[in-house]
Amino acid sequence: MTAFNGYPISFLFAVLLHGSVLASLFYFQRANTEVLDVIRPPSVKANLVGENPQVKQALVQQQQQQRRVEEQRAAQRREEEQRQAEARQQEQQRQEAERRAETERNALRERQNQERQQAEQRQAEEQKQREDQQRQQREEEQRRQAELAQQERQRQEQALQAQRDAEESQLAAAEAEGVMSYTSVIHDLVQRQWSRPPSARNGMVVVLRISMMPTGDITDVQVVQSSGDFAFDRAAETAVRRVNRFTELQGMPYALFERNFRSFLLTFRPEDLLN
Amino acid sequence: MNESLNVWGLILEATLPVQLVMLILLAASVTSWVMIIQRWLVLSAAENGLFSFEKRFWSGMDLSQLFREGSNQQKDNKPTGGMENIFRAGFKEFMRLRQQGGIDSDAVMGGAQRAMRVAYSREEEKLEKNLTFLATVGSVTPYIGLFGTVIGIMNSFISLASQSQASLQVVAPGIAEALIATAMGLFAAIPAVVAYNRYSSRVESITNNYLTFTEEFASILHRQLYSNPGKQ
Repeated sequence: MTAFNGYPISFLFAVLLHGSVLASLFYFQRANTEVLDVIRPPSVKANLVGENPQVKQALVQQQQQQRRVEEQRAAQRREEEQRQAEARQQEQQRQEAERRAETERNALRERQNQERQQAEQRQAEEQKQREDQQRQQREEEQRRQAELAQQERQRQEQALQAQRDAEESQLAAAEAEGVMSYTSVIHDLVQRQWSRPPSARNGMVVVLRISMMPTGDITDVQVVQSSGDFAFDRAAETAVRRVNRFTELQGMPYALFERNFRSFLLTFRPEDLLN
Repeated sequence: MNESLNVWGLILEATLPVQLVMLILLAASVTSWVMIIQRWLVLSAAENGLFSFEKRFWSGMDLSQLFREGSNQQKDNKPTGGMENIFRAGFKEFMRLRQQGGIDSDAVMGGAQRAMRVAYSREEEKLEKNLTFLATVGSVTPYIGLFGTVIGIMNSFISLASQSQASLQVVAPGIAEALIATAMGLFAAIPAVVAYNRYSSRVESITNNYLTFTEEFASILHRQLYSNPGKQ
């Protein structure tokens, strides 16, 4: 009387069915993705890559300053060398003068031996002359020392100046860093709002001048340099206007804001466009 | 991008509640298919047994001979069909009551009919077993799938809220993943509903055949009982 039951075989069938359904799903999914790979449309990645001209300017300024400092230092070195060369020449001249004086004196002594009588008169004169010469030499020496002292003072002043320049460049670097970070925030916000028109082409550049309040509110947007395509210009302008307020910029130091963001330029260019 | 479009990736990366729902749905689907195939085999066997027994019954064979064949078959550990079981129950009761003697014909007839009714209801129960499970799967799995979908979409919207910018790329995977749950629910429910409807009509036709046969057999027994009352 045991009733017919087909449980084992039906279980087998059911599992086989589900297995085959899942396997076919897997297979077709893979085939689909392969096809998708083939007909992939040209990638269009909209990116705002234009760097802030202000930052660039700051960088350029910094580099220029560095170059100036280096040039100054080089000039100083050259001057010093010149001065040393002059001092050496003077020394040589003096030595030569002394040597000449000695030979003259020798000649005088010989002449004294020969003509002492005449010599006595002349000797007095000679002596006077020598004294004059010595005096002159001493004066010259004093003058040289004074000059050296002055040079020393100048050098010290220059060193101070260099130090001050270095400090200034450090400050400028810190500021540039701040500007950079705020600029990236601005880029990020604008880029999110930016939808590129289909008429955008590679090589188009729009530069906008954006005026802003310290609260981050945008007061004015102007196209400084048009790309030549009206829609592209409009899209860039609309993106900025749509941001309306850069709330992230509110905590900025006032001086930094005044110097860099009261009015700044923003460059838009389409990137990675294949057509 | 293509990776995220893959259904497998979506299933594997789904959140835990959604994965749980999917697991439940898969189990329900497998079980319902086990029931569908098993019921199909059982009902087919019942129909075949019904037709073959009817042929034998109306072939003019002696009824006690038919009963003995059935007994032999059971001894060989082969189950007899549903209709044969009803026949055997009625015939056994009829013979037993008749052999006892001193029982009036109405009581014998009543006893045989009762025995057949009991056998009939037993057979009906056997046929209808598990059909309620199919009905349950058919009606409940869409809701379970929907539940998974709602949870998934909820999650994707919560993740959307944490994003400052709403883009389709953020929501799409979550919604796709959630919709898989609904798809699985429907995948489990549709065959279950179809099978339930088909099988319940088949069971009805089989049990109708049983009932008809019961009546016919009762009339045969009745004729036998009253045509030769002298044998009593």
